[in-house]
Amino acid sequence: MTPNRDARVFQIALNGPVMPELLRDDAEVIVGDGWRRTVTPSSPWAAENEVLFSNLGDAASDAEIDAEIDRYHRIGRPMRWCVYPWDRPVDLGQRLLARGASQAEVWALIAENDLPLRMVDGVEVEPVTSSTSEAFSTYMDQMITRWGYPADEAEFRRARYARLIDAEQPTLMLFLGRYRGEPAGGGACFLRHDHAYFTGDFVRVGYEARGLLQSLHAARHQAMSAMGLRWATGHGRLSGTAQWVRRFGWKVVFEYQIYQLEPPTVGR
Amino acid sequence: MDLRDDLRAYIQKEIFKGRVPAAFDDDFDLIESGFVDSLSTMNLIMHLEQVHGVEFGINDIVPQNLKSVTALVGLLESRRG
Repeated sequence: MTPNRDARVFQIALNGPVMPELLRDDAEVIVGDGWRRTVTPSSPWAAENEVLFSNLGDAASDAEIDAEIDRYHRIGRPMRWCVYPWDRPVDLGQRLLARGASQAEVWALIAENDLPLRMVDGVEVEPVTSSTSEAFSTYMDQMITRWGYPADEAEFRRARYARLIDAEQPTLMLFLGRYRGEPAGGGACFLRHDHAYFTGDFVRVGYEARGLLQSLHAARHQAMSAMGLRWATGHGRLSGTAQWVRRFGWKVVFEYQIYQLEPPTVGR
Repeated sequence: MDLRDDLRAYIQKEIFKGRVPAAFDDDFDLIESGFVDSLSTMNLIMHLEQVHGVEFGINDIVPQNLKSVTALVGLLESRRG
């Protein structure tokens, strides 16, 4: 790889999860001085109440960390904090764990869309092109069930995904996977000018190990390549799809951790 | 232990967890019978790589190659050349 290409790959992978399309109307995005925080009082979903990038110094005090967390505790919502290998202080993750956070290991991955990944026999993947289609209802029902979205998050996603895929120039594409004709999984892509962010992969319980995930990736690569988008990026948890995605030919750009803290309970 | 014996032993211990179905033989379909999921498949692949020293291509890890002892033997022998 050339230095310029390395830099572009890193930039694409790092900024993959920045998805302004999924902000609720009351979301506040606080950006500056190396920080990117999203605060969404209406959302019970930690992904919408997160510190995506932070810029504490080596000598950050506990009070500085607590002030960030309190921003979310004040609205009574769970929050998550993404901690990268270059973040300071070096013990930031440990200090979040000491505050009761849970921890998830995540890989930021990338691939070129001309990857020769093949569809698997028995699996068909259908692009979902309209919110009025049966495929859209099926996709949403299954995604909501698979991820266990709370009712108001489910309602928000249905409305927002419909708006995004029906747009004149959509920035979101959904793909519904079927195994022997039965709806069995799905995956999404957010479209950027030279790449796509693959996200939201799910396989219905009972349909695992049947090639759904590989086929959903292959179909999206083919669609993105046909649209002239060179790269695909995605962030996956090691407890989830990340190891599979690497076996599909993706490269790990960097590893990081997501720490999640629940709001204090009343009376604590 | 030869390849087939190793696969049988691994499947009986790690996939069936010791409760081996009466119908289990080298053509028993591990996928359609519902015994494997995403995690157990990944663990099986890692076992094959570590114990048998093979490397798989990006299109190798498909149900047709993983569904039974016979299919797994075929996959491993093809990767060993």
